[in-house]
Amino acid sequence: MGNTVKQVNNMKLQNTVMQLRKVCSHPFLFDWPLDARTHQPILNEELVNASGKMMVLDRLLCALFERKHKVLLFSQFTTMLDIIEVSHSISPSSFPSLCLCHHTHFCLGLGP
Amino acid sequence: MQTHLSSSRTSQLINTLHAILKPFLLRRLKVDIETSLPPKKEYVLYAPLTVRQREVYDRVVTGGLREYLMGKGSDKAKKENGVEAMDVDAPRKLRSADGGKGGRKGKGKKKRKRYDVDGDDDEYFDRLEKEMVDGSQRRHEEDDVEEIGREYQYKATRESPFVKYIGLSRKVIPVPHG
Repeated sequence: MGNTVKQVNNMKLQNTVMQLRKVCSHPFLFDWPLDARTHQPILNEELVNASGKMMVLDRLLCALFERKHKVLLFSQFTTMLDIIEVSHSISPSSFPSLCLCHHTHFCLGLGP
Repeated sequence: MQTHLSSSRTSQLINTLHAILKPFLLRRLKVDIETSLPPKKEYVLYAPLTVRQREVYDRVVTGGLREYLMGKGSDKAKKENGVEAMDVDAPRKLRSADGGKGGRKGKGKKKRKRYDVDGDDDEYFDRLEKEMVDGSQRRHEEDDVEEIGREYQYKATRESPFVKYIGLSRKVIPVPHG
């Protein structure tokens, strides 16, 4: 409980439009619930089902991969990218994917 | 120290500026160079909000976000049981009679926000499957502008052609195999 309070207090919630953008993407961008037993962020179908956007994306990706397309995903929210990466990796029909984001080392990202 | 110029004067100035800069400035636009890619097509797809998103959204709009998030933290701490099993009925419970706000911090709102403006969804879907739905049936709500607006918004997202096309339902969508 103390952890959440600290977490919430650290969040600056003034910019309403930004908060609305976040909530429209995924509610986990505010608080990613932890698995009660392992205290790790939960990684299951709930990731996809918590957000309308993720469900639409899921559908789109299925349809696109079926048609042999390659897909490039952009987001300004790094947590959103994490969520997408995780939900993609745990899905049984996942295709190889590469994630270039804030974690990626600058040199690695630009290599030949 | 801005002065307002007429538009013809403005465009004249701009043309003069371009003429002066032309020998010194090199500008390449993608349209000039990119020949191998097919033309870009942009589609805007609308995604509805889930119940959970809707809750947070409402809180952001009304301003009670911080309290709500704190409230969620204390609720979690009180849970004794182990893994929060995926409660498929959670959306149904949230739409139940008490409006789903009873358990939370409850900021004493005068008007309870209800999401079942068209009646019980689960009943509706059952009846739909059995083809017992009569399109002309409508529940009479209080003549509240807010309610009407929300009803419209709710129906629009639920019945939008795109949502129907991709077959999005309330139910959990399993990830297809193969």
